Amino acid sequence: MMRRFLLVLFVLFLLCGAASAQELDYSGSFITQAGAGLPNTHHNSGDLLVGQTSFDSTFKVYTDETMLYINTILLYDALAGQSSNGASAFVSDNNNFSLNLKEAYFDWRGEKLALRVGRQIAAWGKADDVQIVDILCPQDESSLYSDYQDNRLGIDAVRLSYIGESTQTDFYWIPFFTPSTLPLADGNPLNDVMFGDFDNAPGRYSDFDMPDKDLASGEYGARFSAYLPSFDFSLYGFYGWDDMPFYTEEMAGKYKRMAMVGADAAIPAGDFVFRLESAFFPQRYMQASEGGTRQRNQIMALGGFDWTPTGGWTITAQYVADVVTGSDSPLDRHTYEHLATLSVEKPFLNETITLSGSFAMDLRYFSTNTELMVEYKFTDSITLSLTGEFYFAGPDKDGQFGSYKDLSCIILKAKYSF
Amino acid sequence: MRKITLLCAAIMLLAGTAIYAQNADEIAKAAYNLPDGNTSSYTATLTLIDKAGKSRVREIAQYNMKDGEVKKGVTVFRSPKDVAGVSYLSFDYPDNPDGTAKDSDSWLYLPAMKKVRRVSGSSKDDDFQGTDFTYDDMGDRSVGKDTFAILGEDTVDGIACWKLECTAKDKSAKISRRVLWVGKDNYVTYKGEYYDKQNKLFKTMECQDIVQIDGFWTTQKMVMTTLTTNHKTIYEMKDIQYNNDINPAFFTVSALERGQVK
Repeated sequence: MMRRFLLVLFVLFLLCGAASAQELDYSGSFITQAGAGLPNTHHNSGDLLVGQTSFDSTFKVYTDETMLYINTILLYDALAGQSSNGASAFVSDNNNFSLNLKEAYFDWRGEKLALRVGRQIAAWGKADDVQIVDILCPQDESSLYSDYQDNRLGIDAVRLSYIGESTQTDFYWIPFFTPSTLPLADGNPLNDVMFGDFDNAPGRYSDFDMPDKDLASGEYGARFSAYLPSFDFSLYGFYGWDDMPFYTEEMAGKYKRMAMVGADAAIPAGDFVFRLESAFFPQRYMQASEGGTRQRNQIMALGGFDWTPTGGWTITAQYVADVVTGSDSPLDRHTYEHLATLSVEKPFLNETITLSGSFAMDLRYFSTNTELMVEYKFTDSITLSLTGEFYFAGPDKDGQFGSYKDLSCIILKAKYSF
Repeated sequence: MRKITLLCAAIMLLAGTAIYAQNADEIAKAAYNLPDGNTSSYTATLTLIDKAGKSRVREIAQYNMKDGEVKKGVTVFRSPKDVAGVSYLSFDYPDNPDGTAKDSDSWLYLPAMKKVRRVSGSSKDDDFQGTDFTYDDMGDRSVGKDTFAILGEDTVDGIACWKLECTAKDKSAKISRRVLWVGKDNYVTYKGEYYDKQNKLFKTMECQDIVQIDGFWTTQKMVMTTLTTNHKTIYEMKDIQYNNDINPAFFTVSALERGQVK
């Protein structure tokens, strides 16, 4: 009864809001996709590894200086691979359906100050699809084949901004912790990769030891950005929680505090834009091989460029280094790990068809991930795409991407935008 | 006697070339500096039509402001829906003292990425979002990118024009030469022909519905046709306003990121 009352109240609130608003904008998309394992994926060969239909809708209500923004996604997963993190989505008991409140906030802007309150997504850093300073929003780690940016989860936060002519300073207070979403459902093909070796693997988000819901457990962030004629740069600071849990020997998961200071820059030079990004994590908790954690200082850094020669080509290359101080024993990683990425995109026939490819290689074990995609704009509203995702282990060890080698697949996707 | 005639002819030819070159530069600068107010805004519909007659439509909103010698512009996509909200902010600077073009400062906001990306401000030779127009065609192509010559005089729909030849200084440019019909009385472009590196006619431009709005010459419709693919784009402007009240905050990266410009 109470739920129905709240639902009616919510609908009335929306209708009243829309009626009194100066402008209402409604948009969204419908996506359906299916993917099957490639012949080299052993037990997954020919198995359906993707089967999702989703309806994404966005409301924007504008008044004089204010905008209300609500983005929700209703998703059906034929593989019953949906799981909850307890904050971002409501998931049905059979793991087939999820209702995700991705963002819901209001935004006010005055002459120099601005305020954004509610569930929101913020993207930090200049890197492409690599997480260095981009730690404010957790990731949906339950989905291997989604885009990096689509995997960001909203955080319940207050953002206060001071806006200059060519600068912006943001302060974040995040009272409620939102963890990454993990592939906890048995139907999720990633579940076997992440938890398959453990008899007592967690099955629900409530199996994890979450931070307390009190003022002392809040998270804080700050960013200063400048956009100058010769280059852009930003400085970052964050004190909060690591979005991924750490496990004991008995596979009990617990979240740990972390801090970060970072910086980035983008420098245009002719057809190139050079991008730099770096972050320092003092005494960050690291997973130990036999369970438990150790603390180490960590530095991550990236150098890369976007190259846009004539002809519509876009070429992006990046090198990422990840260093921790002290001994790598008993850590579940090496003290020095590094990665290189390359992506190429080229539209054809007045952007009716776009071919793109991206390649990533971990430079320690030479495991690789290659994504090849052809996208066809059937009409202004309908886009069809065919994507091949290929994962290969290194010559000696699985490496960073080799653990996904049995999840290489080909995906057919149709999208209707309105 | 024959030597004197040849000498006179050579002197006249050199003098004539010098006069034409000077006039050509002046005409090009006058066309570039055509008054368009301290601020302006409009919406535009771009209809892409392929050789089979199938059409696709893009709608954009454009806001411009002069800040000293810097021309600031914001372009926001309203449709198709999968790119709605994509915004492009550009600061265009006067040419360098040596006459070469100075790169623009440019930022692109992609709503799906939730962040603003610095993009190269040098290459504007590429097609604008799949249309037959390049980024240069959509904005004001810097005078410093070309050398100019007058090919002659002609009329377009009864209007007296100079035939102005603009040759790209960049030898690798996709369009190496443009011939523009520029009105003698108002420096407005009425027609254009674009030639590729092999000096083959690559695309043509027709300008229509040219009127004065608030005293400023305005081309309300342009049709660009690529001859090699028989693909064309019709660019139609509406809701055109000059010297209107545009929030200077629109021309900031912060406004792009907040979706403030729409």
